[in-house]
Amino acid sequence: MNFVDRPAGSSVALAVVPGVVGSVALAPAPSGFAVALAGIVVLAAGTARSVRATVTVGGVAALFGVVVASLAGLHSALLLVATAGAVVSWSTGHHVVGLAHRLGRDAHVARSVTVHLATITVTTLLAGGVALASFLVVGEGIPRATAVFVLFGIVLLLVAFELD
Amino acid sequence: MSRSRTRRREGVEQPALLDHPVIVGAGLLALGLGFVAIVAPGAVPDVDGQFGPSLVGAVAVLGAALAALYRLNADRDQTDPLAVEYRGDVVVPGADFDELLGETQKGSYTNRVKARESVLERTREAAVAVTAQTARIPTEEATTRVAEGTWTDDEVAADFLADGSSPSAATDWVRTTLGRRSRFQARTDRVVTELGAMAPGVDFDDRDDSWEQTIPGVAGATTGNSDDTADGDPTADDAMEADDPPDSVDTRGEAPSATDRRTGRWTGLAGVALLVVGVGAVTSGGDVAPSLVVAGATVFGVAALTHATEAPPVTVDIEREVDPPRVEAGERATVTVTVTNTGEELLPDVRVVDGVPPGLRVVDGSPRYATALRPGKSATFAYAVEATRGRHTFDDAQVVVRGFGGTIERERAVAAEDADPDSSDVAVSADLLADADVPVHPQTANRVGRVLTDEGGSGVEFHSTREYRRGDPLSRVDWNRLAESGEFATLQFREEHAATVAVLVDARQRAYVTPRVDAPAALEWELAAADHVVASLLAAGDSVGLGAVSPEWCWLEPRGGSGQRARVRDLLESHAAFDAARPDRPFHGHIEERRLRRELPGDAQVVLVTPLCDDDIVTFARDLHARGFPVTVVSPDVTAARTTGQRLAVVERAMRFSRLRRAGIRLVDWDTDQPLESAVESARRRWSA
Repeated sequence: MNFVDRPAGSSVALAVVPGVVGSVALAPAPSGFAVALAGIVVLAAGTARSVRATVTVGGVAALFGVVVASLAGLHSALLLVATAGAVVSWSTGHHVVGLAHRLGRDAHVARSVTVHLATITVTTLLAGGVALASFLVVGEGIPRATAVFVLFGIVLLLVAFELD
Repeated sequence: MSRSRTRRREGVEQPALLDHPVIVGAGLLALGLGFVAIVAPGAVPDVDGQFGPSLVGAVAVLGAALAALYRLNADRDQTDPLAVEYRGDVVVPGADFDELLGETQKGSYTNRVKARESVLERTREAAVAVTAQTARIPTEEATTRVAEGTWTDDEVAADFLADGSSPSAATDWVRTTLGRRSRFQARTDRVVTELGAMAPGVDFDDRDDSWEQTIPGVAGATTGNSDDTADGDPTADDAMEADDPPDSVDTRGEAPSATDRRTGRWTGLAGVALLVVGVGAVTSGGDVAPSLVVAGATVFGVAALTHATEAPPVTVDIEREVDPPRVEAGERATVTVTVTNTGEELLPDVRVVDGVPPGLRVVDGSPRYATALRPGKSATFAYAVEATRGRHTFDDAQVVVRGFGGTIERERAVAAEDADPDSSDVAVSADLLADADVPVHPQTANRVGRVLTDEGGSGVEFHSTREYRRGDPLSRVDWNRLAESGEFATLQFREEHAATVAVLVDARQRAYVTPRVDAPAALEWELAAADHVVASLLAAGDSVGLGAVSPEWCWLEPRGGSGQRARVRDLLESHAAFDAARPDRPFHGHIEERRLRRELPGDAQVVLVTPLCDDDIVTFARDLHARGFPVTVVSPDVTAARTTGQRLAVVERAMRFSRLRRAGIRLVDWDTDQPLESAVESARRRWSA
């Protein structure tokens, strides 16, 4: 048996499905839907060919679809579904690529992929749920100071997380 | 690397998430102020209406740029997988040249230039050898022809080696960046193709990439690769590329390590969150669209939650069962591995790569597995290996455990409980007493045998007549001559003597070559050939000994009889010199050769079995031959011709044949697709021609 560092088709399918579902949530805003779906197609190609950079580009493109749909005035709940779909697909795509690099195409990895998919879906929906709830409580009037402070906070935490 | 605050567990350095408390504290403070601005408007000064959007945008872009930078660095940090599927430590002849050719497009400018020079030098050497051989001219003249570019009609090939008219390095860089082949590589290939067309006995087209062969003497040991790509798409070029095995495998030095490392898994995700918010802020021309804040917060929330999870300790036990534990060579054994979580914590991501012994090849299933394990639970996977000679001990399994987030992974080498070593002790067995006997040089011992000598005496084939001497047997008196002339004369026949033959098997590091890393290594063919040669020589009454050209000393005095056959087979099957794993130590030709010469009887001749894939063995054979031990070389052909380097290796091997022939050494070039007998037969025809 040769070692082939690409994932099996079933793993790729598992990674792509959430992204497709998320894109469909953007259907009321056709431009956002098109961008997000194109991103998911790129993500699928990157996953199938085991190229991490392509997976990331596809995931970011899918999120860009969310931005486009938001500017078209789509409801936050639908945006949340699309965001979650893109994040879950991106994360699962990387998980599948990582498994393919280390374990190859022929290894049994279905359980690992499923568990990852379930975990990241729950995590994303939890984070999204909290964000949506906060938004509903605070309402439309987010002070600019909040936006600036929150962004600064995020940048600092990002630096702390990534410093090695 | 700031490691001063890292915690230690199991003696291994472990990256900690809170390595930078000051920055984390400042970040949390900023988030808190943002929250205060919501619940108590006025407590925190608001940001100016004009200044706000651009500040938000600037911060977001800064964050996103940082994230992208981190991401780029994270993607570079990939570890190579362990090559456990293949027999260990084998290379396809020419892999070194292919690597060199690859280096002409990699690394610094100096490295690339150096690599180019080395490629040119080696190609020139081959061109000189081929030109000298085919035009039957001295090496000096051939060197001049190559330097002047008159060695071939192919102008491109001739120019390439002549004046160093190398294609521009800059153009080649652009071509390779665009995914195309560099001109330098294309021209090198053209030169090698031209050399292949000129060199005698070389035909690149005649080579079948697939293999399905039976190693002679190994009952039922038919192996092949014909169905390996069955589940792939054979029409897609990239799929075929992906299915191709590598050209060299070195499993040494890749043992699982005990390391905890950051995976870089979520690097940059928070930056993406910033980008979403930032783009929203800029495009909406003022206030951030609240729906995008939700989207951005969702993404950031995922990043934060996954960063907050830690990898659990590696509490994994491995149990391995080999069924059957003893098998014949060529048969399959099924390896069943059970992975158990012995700890108290859930292991959401466990990855196992079993420690397949280097001498075994995986033929079905995969020795790799990934799963999630609750405390106390087990999971099982199985794969099949094809047994080869020797006793093979499993290495430790590589186990990698990650937490839910996968931010940190812990890698450990885990020894199997009850690691029953796979004792597939078998080898070249079965019916090897073939009909075709192996011819040897006419250097014999003073015993009756079947090697025709140039000495007159009793025998079958007419040699000469001489004057009758008292005591000559009446049956040899030339009665016709007596009737014609009345003179007594005695007929002399060519005496048939036995030979003393030492069969030497090349088992140096450089003999561990194979046409594909998933095909049998040259040593397996060599052992089969040696067994065959010994059997047929012993059957013909010759005295036969056995030795290894290896850093591991192995020598059996030449003797005759069936007992010797058993002794030889025993050595071939189990001596450390013929181990399926490549020796660690290099072979020092002169020292070992001297020792061998001391052991060789004065009237001995040598049958050297070697893949002939390097020049040292040619020198070794020529030295022995020159010192009065006539040498016959039996060489299984294990070269391939898929890449430029492999084709050059074919040409170089053909040139080694020429050098040996010029020294008077007899050669048997064994195409392993055919039985050894037919190679011997065609060689015998050439010798008697």
